[in-house]
Amino acid sequence: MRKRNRLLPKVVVSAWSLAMLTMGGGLAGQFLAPDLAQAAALGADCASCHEKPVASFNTSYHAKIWQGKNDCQSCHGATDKHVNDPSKSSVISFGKGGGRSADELSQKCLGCHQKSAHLSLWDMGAHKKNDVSCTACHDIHSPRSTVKQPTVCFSCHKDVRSDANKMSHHPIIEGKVKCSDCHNTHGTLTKKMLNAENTNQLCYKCHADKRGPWIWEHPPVEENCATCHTPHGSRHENLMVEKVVNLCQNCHDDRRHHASVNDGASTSHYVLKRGCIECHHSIHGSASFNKSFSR
Amino acid sequence: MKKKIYSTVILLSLAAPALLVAAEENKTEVHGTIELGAQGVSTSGNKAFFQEFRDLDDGFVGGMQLDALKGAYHFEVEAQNPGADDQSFQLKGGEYEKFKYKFNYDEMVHNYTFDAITPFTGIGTKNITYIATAADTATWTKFDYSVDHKSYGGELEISLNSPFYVTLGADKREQNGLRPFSVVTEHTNGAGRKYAEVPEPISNTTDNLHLKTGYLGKAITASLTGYMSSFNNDNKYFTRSDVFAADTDIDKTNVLAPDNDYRKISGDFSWRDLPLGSVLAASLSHANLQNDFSAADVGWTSAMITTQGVNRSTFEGDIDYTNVSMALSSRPTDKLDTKIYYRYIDRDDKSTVISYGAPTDVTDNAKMLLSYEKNSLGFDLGYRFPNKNKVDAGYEYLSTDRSTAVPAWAGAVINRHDNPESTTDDTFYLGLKNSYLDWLTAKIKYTRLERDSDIDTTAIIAQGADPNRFTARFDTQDKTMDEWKLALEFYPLDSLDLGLNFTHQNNDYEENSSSRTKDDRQSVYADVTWRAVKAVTLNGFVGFEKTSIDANRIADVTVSTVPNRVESTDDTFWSYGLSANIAATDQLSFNFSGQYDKSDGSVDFTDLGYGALENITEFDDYTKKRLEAKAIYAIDPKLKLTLGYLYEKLKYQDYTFSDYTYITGTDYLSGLYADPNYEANVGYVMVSYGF
Repeated sequence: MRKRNRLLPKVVVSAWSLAMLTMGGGLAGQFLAPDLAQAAALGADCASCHEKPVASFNTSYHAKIWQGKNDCQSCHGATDKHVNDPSKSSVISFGKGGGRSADELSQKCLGCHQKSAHLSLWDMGAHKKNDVSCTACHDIHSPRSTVKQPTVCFSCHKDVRSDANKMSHHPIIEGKVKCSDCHNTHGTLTKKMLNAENTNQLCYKCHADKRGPWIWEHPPVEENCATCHTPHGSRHENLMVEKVVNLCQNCHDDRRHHASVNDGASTSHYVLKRGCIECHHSIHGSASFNKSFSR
Repeated sequence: MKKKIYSTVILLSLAAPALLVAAEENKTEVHGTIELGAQGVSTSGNKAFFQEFRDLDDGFVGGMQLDALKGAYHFEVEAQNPGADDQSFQLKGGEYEKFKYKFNYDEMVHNYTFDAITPFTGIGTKNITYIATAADTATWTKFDYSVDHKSYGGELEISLNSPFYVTLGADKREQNGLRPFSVVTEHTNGAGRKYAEVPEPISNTTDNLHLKTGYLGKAITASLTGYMSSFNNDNKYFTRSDVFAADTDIDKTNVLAPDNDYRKISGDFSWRDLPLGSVLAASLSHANLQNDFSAADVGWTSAMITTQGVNRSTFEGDIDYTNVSMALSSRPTDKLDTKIYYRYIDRDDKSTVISYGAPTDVTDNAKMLLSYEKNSLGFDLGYRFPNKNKVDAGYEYLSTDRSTAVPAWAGAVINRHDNPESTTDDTFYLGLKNSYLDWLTAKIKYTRLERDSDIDTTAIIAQGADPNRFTARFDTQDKTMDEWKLALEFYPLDSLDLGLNFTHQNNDYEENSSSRTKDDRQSVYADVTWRAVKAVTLNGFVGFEKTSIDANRIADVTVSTVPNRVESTDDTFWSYGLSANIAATDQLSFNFSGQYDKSDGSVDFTDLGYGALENITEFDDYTKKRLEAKAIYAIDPKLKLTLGYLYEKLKYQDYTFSDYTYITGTDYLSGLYADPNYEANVGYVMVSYGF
């Protein structure tokens, strides 16, 4: 039986009230270019050749916040040469074939955004190291510069796209888990740019029931969830890196049933259906005082 | 239906004031989209697999996005699938550089299997009862394996145009439903293990709270964060009635996840503008995870404690986590990037050690309580050579010490069942990137890992009659890994982008005589985007993955440690897809997409004297097809009509699920994952209004 949802109206009303209060007054923030008229004039000049980019920029968050106080040159650099030499190299072009390094392009954004808390570790991240510029993911000419996850991420991380479409997967393609829920794409001090100290601490944020502490731990589980699970998707149920019977035998191979489960022709219940997990259901740990068979 | 109506009314009440504000005050800009439509769904086969994480049923569908801006103030609302069981709402806003806030509410279903059956009644409660007519599955109880997830919370950050900020956030997660589980029946009489699939009753909450304060300067950033998380489980255990005469109370008591409290304090620091273009960053955190419960809390009576001979009837879980990470990145010249880093992670498990029949019987849980300490030190170098060549190289040393504390009464070193106390990993890599040509970027990278373990096979064999003897973790064995990666990106035309990634990885567990001995992995992915003409864009991709794993199997380690057979597992996965976006006229456009996935697994056995075994040819095999077509007609610049169709088909085959019956010997199955095949058609019409 489904419970009635009583919290939603409270959340919505509270948020709306706060929004209306904050929208009630105030002045525009202070931004970069001091000469509003000059900025508008330069924008108009650019539009004479680049009608669509200027039009799309005018719908963007940047344009609305800046309110004409910054011009195209703020990002694209001086355009004096570009007027006479309309090649991409005579201006800072963020598109293909612009000839600028990713670092040069990112520096244009970091000039304003470096003070942002979530960019403080940009220099430590894999994206900077691998020459990924801000505009490789963010389209600042669109109404919202929010990255369209996971589509944008999949364009480079093709293996993750493949995994996310497999039969067993985290609900990434359904939009319920975002790449940024687990990874800080702007840089971290951790491996794989994880949003936590290590894999397990990250997984426990959502899977708090797996945290323990347990009377009976399963050591590989406590050390690294990724020993048994592949996080984006798998051919095998429950995001397993292998089918369960094979995976368990990689560590447990003794004279008991462990060694004889996979004989193909047998109907042994050790191998059928979910295999080992049918009996060893508390595979992540057990809080039972039972000394035997409780895992 | 009521849920959908309520949600729609709430959404409209959100949008209406914003529109009124926009009409009254010219300075406030309000933009957004409202979508409303209806869909019809036809599913044959397993509806739970089709709807694993989504709510796709007949009825109304919709969504909304709203942005409001007034000077430095901004406000955004986004709603998806309002009224459905996978609905989500997000509100955020604030005043630029002064404060910001966000609220979110999200629901998700996780459907495993519908219409499962079990020979127990009382499913979902703390006591389930076995029915006398178990041989007749028509009398069994029907239920759905499904868990509802809800999460909601908010965050407020205040900086007031200063370099200092404070962030306060709280959120709550709820889970309710039935998750796959099973109970073991008649295990103590030595007649062999038997089981019955029954669901685990799920009803739990996780409450999270965080407070962060920090400083954001041009050169220095610093922050201090406190985080608390409490997990509360309404079901600490559930019991079942007798299935067989030999069942004991211990057999019949199923202990579930305990409550826990997690506390963490962390500090982060970065300092840029140092000499040689350097940035120094560090992060420190200390966390503690605790719980405590008694035997009675998990359904254990004093008689059960006596039967087991447990030395105590309470447990205090206590685990400390400590993390130190620091890195120094530098750019001494325009051509050279360097980074050195150090990471330290410590897990100190101080939980209660319990024993059975101590001191004469030293069977205890200490062998399973894991403490570890990991130290890693590494560097990365990147140098830009002429002609847009870049060389990257690096090295990392990782030492893992899994020494286990010895209980005072044990009086000797305790080797855990999985045995290896320490491993060291040395990882090297070398990469080359060339982007000399404007239309081509090529990257190649080689990585080698050498792992050295102190695993003691003699100690494992000496574990005698312990129920977990001969356990040897494959992930901590000696091994070498060689990996090659190649990536190409072509831009031969302004309208054409091509990408190709290839990976070959080989893992060799050279010292391992039992379990996994080696695995090879290859993958190739290619994609293309072609803006064929102004009005037509085509996208395509293809992916192929192959994994081959060899493992030795030993029939009886106490007789001989020589393998009796080799088990070779092959997994292959194909995936390809194509999509087209066509703008037929200024008002009419079409989107078409199709995707095909094929998974194929097999196991071959090579007999080494134990007796020939039949090879397995159906090992998580499946094909999945997906087609989607959409026509979008712009009635005017603000109003759009969308007509769409989605087709999906899944066909699954696996030898462990072939000839499925609910009763196999004395095991009782429930139909869980039994037949995931489905074929589904979805049609929908949607009107969207932009403002």
